[in-house]
Amino acid sequence: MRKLLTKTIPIATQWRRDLEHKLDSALNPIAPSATFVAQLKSRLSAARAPRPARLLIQKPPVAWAAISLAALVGVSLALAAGVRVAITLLAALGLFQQLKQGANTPIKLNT
Amino acid sequence: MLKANGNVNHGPADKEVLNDAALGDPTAFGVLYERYVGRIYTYIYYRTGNHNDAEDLTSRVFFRAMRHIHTYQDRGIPFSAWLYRIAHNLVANWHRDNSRRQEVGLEDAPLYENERHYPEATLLRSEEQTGLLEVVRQLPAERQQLLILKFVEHYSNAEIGLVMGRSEGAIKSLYHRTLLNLRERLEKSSFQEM
Repeated sequence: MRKLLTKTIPIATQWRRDLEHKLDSALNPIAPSATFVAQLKSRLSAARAPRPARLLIQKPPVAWAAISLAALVGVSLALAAGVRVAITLLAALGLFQQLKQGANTPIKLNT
Repeated sequence: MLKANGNVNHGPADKEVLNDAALGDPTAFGVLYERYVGRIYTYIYYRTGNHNDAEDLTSRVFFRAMRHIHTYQDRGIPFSAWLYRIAHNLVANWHRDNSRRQEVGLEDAPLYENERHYPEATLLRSEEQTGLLEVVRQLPAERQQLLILKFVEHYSNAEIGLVMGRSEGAIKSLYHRTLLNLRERLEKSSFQEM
């Protein structure tokens, strides 16, 4: 019984053999034109040629860019802090002057 | 080792050349180009049906291969399979773009029309063979690919499986279904002609 179930049915029937024969006759390698092959080869070679030196100049590394940016931010912060200190000092000086003037002015009592 | 067009393709030699090509050796890439240009051209020609597009797409395949050759890794898949996959993708894009443009419908496009401009590539085909090729060209892409690899390249099912990324059994089954489908289409087309 098992043998009967596993018995294979021949697939290669006549129509299949005929169709395969037709396909084999119709599908053949096609040679590209010699001109095309030569032109493409030269185009590929040209594309592979080393690039001009100016294109090979390396860009500054990322580390340098990061350092520059950090320095710029630092200087800006320092400047901002300096300006703030100067303003505070000037304000303090003005207040001191006003107090000094106030101390020298006699107080008039309305008697 | 893949056999194609009756020629034996030496795998180890391919490997050596590939290593050099991946390192940027233009001569090595030239060797690979000369080894495979005919096969890729044939494949694309049967998929597109004309020499102009076959030339254009073959150029693109090799330019793309040259740009990405350093990414090719030998994992048991032959270099030819890698090239065929590039070609398959480009042909698929070409069909998609053509169907979008709809300048000439694929079914209406005259097949193998300009063979007279390429006398060295011209094959004397009977009317029956031309009709058969037109029907083959109407098959789904993967079935066309299978037939081209089997009848033009004479690849075995296992080798076709490597190219198409499928098992040998899956290819065997697909091949049988393709033949059945092809027979059906041929019967229909001959019935319509009557």
